[in-house]
Amino acid sequence: MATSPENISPRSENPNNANEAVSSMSVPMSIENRTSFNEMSPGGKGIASRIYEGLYKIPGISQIVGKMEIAYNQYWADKHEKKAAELKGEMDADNMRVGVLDQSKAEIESFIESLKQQNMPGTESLQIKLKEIERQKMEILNKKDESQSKFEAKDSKVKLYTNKRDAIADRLIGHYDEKIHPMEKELERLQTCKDRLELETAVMNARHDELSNKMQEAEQRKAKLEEIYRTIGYSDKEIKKDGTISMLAGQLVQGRERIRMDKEILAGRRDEINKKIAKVDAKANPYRDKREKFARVKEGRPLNMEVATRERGTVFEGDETINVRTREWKGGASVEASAEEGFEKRPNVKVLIFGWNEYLKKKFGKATKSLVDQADFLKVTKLRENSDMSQENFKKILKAYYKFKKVSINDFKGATDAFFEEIKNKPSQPEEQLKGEDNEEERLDQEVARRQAAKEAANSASQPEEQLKGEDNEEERLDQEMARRQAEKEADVTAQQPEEQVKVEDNDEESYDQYVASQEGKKTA
Amino acid sequence: METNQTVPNDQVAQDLDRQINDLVDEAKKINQEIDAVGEKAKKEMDVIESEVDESIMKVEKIYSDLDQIEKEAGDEFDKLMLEESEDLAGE
Repeated sequence: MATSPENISPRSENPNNANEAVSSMSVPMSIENRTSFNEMSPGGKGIASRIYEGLYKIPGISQIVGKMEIAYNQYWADKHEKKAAELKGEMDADNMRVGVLDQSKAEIESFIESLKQQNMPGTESLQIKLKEIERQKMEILNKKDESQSKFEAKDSKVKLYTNKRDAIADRLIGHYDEKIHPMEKELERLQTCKDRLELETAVMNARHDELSNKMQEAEQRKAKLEEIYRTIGYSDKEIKKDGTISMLAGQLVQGRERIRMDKEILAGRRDEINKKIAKVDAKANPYRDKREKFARVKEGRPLNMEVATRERGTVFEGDETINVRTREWKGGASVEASAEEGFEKRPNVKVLIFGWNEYLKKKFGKATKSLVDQADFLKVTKLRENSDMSQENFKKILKAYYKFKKVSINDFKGATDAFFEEIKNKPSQPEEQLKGEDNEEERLDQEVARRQAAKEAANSASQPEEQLKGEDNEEERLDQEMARRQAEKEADVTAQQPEEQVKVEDNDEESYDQYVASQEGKKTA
Repeated sequence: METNQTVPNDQVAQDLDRQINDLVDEAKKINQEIDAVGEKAKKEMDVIESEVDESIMKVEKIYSDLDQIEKEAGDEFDKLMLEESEDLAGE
């Protein structure tokens, strides 16, 4: 900061330029002070303009620091010292003169005494001389007293200016401190809002992903049902024109679109809120800097302009890039997840929290403060404990949750990655549950086979259809189940053996039962 | 879906129709859920934004106060320096 009077240009040495110097300053000065300046003597204006010269180049935001630096500049001390030295010199000279006079006076007195002892005349003229010396001494002492008074007044003034300057600085720092504390508190609150925003976003993204998966599942089921329609003879045109299927397609499109729009809106709002926070936080740094500079200037320590960036300042540094992940929907097939992903049984939140806590206990002991309180987690995130969730989403939410709860994840840095890596290949559902599902599938397969055999037998025996209808509703239910299971199996076979993709002939005469039987035969083979 | 299929195919078609209808209901439920999630997210955002705006307002007020404090201190420093300059010039 170039406020040192040593850097002053010759122009400002001329008091005539003083007015111009101050009036052309970009330094804001109150009307009162400008008026005072205009009323000052040319000498005073000259000094002031020299003093303010450096302030031209200081940006407005730091001018208070500049003014404070000027107020605490050595220039004033030097000026006062110079004046004080002059006075001191005068006083010393007076002292010397008084000393000389005292010496002369003593010599004369001694001479008078000597004359008196010798009874010699002429002492009167010496007495007159003594009186003259005394008068001169009195004059010098009076002059010295004046200088002394001036010196003392000067000293008092210096102290007065110092006190005034310190009082202004102290008041400034005191008021600053009074404001800085609540400012930091509010900024901390904004940081918490930001953390909450991140957590909400992570939770919403997870919810959207969950719903997207449901959509995907529905789309795949729709595709399978359409395929079955085709197998029993419906053309693509007929399927497309069907009111219910159109409605279903519309619902699915609407859902996808709504998720996409919601994600965009949320990302946009998050971006907007983050920008607001970043903007207001960025404005805080100059005030924090100034507060530190005030203290340093007052202490008279050299200013280090290369202030290391504080951690606080980096919190809102820049805007985080918000990537809105939009999805393209092509005729019912999700481009984001594979079919395997779509039907993958994902763990629920409760299972993930439990697993994570167990992992932490195993790694860091039961006393670790990082254990997740399930009730609090669910309360904060507003997630349901049975919500399905991908590990990736849970990881994001967990990190945002810890940040929101002000729990440093440095303590278990890397543990999250390790945990998710560990569970990556593990079955996400309890084994028993999976086994249970297998058994159910087996049972249904057997039932399908049994029903198929019964139907074939009935057909071969040319039994009337009424006979088949004689079976109760259970048959209908099983038929439906058969169709569903068959559709799923077909999809599996198609996916696993593309080369054996079933070529369904557009033959209206081919019955569903025959189709089922042929598929069964292929699968068995 | 109207068709000229044989009876078994009709049965299958009916069955499929029913499944499609179930799927439509399911899709509607998912859409309702999407609406609910969207609505909830909007409300949460509104709450957060409102708190953020409130805090920003308070912080901006503090900045304004600090600016005023600086201005007053700056004026006082100016006054002091002008006084001192005049004082020095007069000695």
